[in-house]
Amino acid sequence: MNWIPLILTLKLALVTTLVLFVLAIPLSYWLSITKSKIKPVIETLVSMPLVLPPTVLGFYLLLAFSPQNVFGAWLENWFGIRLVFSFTGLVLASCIYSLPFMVQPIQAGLSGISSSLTEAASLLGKNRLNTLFYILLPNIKSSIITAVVLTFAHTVGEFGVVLMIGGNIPGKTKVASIAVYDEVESLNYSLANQYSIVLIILSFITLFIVYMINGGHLKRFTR
Amino acid sequence: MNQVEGQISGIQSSDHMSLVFLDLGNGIEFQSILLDTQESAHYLQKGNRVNILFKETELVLSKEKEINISLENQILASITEIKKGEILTRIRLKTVIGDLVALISTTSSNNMSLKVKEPILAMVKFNEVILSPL
Amino acid sequence: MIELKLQKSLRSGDQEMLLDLDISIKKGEFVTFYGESGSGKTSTLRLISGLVEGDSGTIFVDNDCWWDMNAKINLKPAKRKIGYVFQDYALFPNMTAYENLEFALPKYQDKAIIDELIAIMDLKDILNLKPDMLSGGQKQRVALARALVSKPKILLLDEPLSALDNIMRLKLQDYLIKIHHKYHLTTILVSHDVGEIIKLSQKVFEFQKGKIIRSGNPKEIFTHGKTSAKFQFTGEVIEIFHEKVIGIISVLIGQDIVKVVCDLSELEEFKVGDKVMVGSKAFNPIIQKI
Repeated sequence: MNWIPLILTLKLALVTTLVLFVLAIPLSYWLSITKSKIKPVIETLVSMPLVLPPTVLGFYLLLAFSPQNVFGAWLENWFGIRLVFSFTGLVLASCIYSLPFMVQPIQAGLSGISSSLTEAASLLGKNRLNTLFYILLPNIKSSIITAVVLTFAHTVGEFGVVLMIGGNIPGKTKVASIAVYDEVESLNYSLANQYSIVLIILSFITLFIVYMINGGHLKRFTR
Repeated sequence: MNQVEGQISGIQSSDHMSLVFLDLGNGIEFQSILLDTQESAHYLQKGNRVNILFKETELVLSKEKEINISLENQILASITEIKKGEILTRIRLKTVIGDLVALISTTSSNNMSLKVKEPILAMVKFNEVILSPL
Repeated sequence: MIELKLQKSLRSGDQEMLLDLDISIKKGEFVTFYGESGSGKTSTLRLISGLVEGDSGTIFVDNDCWWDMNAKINLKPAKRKIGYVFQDYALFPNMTAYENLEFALPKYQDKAIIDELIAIMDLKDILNLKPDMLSGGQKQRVALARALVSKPKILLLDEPLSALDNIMRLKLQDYLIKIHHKYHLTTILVSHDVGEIIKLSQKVFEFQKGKIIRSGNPKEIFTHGKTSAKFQFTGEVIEIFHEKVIGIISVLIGQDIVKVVCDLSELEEFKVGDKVMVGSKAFNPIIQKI
């Protein structure tokens, strides 16, 4: 078995999770406190990848990133970045695709915190950033772990978007899920089986962690 | 709690105490002793109307109408209802100042052989009478 | 001196209510806000602390303007030097009791105040415990101590004792009296407990539908200077017995239960949980040394 697609999958999932984690915290925080009228619009956009076929997302990203297009050309001319058929493109597409898995648990966790905690902190003279880092985030550890693990697992399981935007370039964009498809196409069933089993074990472990945490089995570690 | 209305007709005070004379109408006069003076309780003014309160258990009943006794407040009544319990008996009385209720022991009630419609003298000691401004 | 002249429309459920206040509270006074739930007591505390803003009016404290709608003045909550104890205590669950106190310490302020409060509030044994390991009374003490770390001039207490059992409640009342005097605070307490109000506060404001309907000395307000009876206590009905020709009502006064005999005709007026005044003439009770 060729390990490169599996390593690529893990690398993609890891980078996506990291990037999303950094992006999702301010976004989730904003969603949890805002009274703005555009909040439902943003929430809808964040949740869209849950219901859209991955191919639809992949298709539009492909169009947008393509160097024949205004946006894609601008990226290439100004930054020398080509997103189509590249690892960076995969990360970007994965981030959009897995966004709800990171944002929703964190947002739910933040909204579930009693408003009196935030108010108490503000009466004690703490600013919003202090309150976020010293009060809010430490009290939603299990939500954060759920979000991180789900995002990771979901990115591992990606197929449609990756195929559309990344193509099937070995060592660059050929992740494990694509490799399975590839091997089946070339009637290489035993290799497809090996990739699949590794993916099944990987998914089981990550999801198992989530349920352990939500079931309280890991509470003493997350506190 | 028995409750009737009356008017303050006179006040006799020492440093911390007052004896209040009360006119309950129809020629009935009551007295009440209080740990208050006109300074400590502003409602204590001659002519003011007050509620006069006393517990049912504080009423003393007598079949004799003329007794030389140190019970300051006395009123003639007629019995309208007798309700006997094992220990206590509840007696409803009709008077010129309104209906009253007396709680006496069943032994006393039996010894006195009280009956409905019988006339009776009801009495209450002046330290049992509570005033409440209207 | 806290001078509050403001209006704010409040919404509770589908009902709208106008909170319309004109009250002043003297420096060093211990006052209570009393009234049915939803009558605007907690909202008033939130307005004073700056957690919410009114629709119109002003808040002055010691002649400093804290809030003025027209002049667009709105002092930040943290700048108002207020200690606030929330109904749910609002202790930070991720921090130990000690860390909760430490977190409340303003920059560059001497830590001595923390040690002092630990001693006053008897927190020594629970410093390293997190809030969910603490009992209601302990949480309350930590919350009270935390509110005082920044040395506030004004202490706002939103029904802090309502969730506690009676013995704990009495103890905490003593703590409240102690700190009120020690730190020369102006204290505002929201409470439903008449006995507690009479014990703690010098003045009570009774709220009804967003307005103050009565204010004054608690004893006079609650017993209405009602009778000449000198032997008076307030308490709560805990049991009603129906004897053959009389009724007996048990009343909890502080930690003591007393029983009062009453006529059957009076029994219907009372139900368990009612706040009552028990009175007798000063001539009747006996007194003995124990």
